[in-house]
Amino acid sequence: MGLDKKQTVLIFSLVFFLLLGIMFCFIFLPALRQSRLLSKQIKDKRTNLTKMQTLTSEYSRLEAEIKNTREKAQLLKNRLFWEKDISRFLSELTRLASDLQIEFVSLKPESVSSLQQKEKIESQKGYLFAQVPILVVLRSNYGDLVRFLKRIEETDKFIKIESLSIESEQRDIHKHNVKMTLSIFVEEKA
Amino acid sequence: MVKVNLLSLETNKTKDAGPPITNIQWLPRALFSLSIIFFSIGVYLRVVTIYQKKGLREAIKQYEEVEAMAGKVKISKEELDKLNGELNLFDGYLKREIIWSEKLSQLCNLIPQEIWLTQLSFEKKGMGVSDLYSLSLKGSLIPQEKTSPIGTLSKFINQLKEDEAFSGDFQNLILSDSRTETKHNVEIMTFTIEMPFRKGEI
Repeated sequence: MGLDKKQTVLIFSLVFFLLLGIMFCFIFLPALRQSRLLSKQIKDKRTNLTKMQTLTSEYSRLEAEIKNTREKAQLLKNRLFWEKDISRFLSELTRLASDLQIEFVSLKPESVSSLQQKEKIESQKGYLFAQVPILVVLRSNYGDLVRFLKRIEETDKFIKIESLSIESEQRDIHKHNVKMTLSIFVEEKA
Repeated sequence: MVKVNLLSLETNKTKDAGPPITNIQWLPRALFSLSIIFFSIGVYLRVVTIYQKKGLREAIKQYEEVEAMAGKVKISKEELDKLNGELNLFDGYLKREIIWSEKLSQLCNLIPQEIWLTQLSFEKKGMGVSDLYSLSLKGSLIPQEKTSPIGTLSKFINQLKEDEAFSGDFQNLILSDSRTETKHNVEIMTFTIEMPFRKGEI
């Protein structure tokens, strides 16, 4: 029983239509879904990218700030810490008083036992350092003492004035016996 | 001229069945057109997907670069925090609570002629941990005529109190000791003034 032309066309069309339907369901729709997904992913990434665009400029700013802060910290560190050997401190102190009428009576670090008790070891921010007190006894007039203290306060290396005692001499009211505890900071090796 | 259909009714009907055969002739064409449309859409989708994948790869690459940058920024921030901590630490230790050269100059200008200081000391009072630094001024005075020693001392104390530049660093001003004695017919008062340091520690 042969098929006539009309039936052949109909069957062929039906099969072709089915094939198109299958193509639509299994190829086109997944491709559309993938395209939409890709589009969404790109959009998301682009949104995040625009948010993070400022990072580059922020990084440059931070780097400059770090450089600046590191330089400042280094300057302050150099100003704060002395060498462990205090001979440089002693020579600096005598240099500061060189053209003043100041007579050093004694100039010594506090005794070993009291140093151990008083030595204030700080361990902060990764630094381990000790505060070394030095007892200075001197004789001077008031004006030169003020000038000497001003030089101590303005010198490049930091010297802390822990305590100060000024007493008038009985025999010469223009002379004063001065006793002061100066402290310096020494960086310890961790 | 009038046309007359001479075919029988049946024959006429069979001939009328012709149009369905003619009607389905559009199907192959329609299907062909549909397949062309599908093919075009398919090609378009394929091209779009290729470009999207390429775009996504670029976006991911950029994203990774930015993520690396974000990591760098985070590390930089931590480093900056650490450096600021160091800076604050050094600043704290380098800070002078009292500028002694200025304090002594100010004090010198505040002392009247009838008063002289015999001792000035700035030390931690007592041995306890919570003890405060305190400025102690010991001195003597000879009052001017028609003035009482206590009046002269009171005036001096007020002068010290009123000078904000000098007394601003101290909590208050305490007269801890005062004695009057007469030597060679001259009334002399000795006194001790205590000024606890405002911040306790230096």
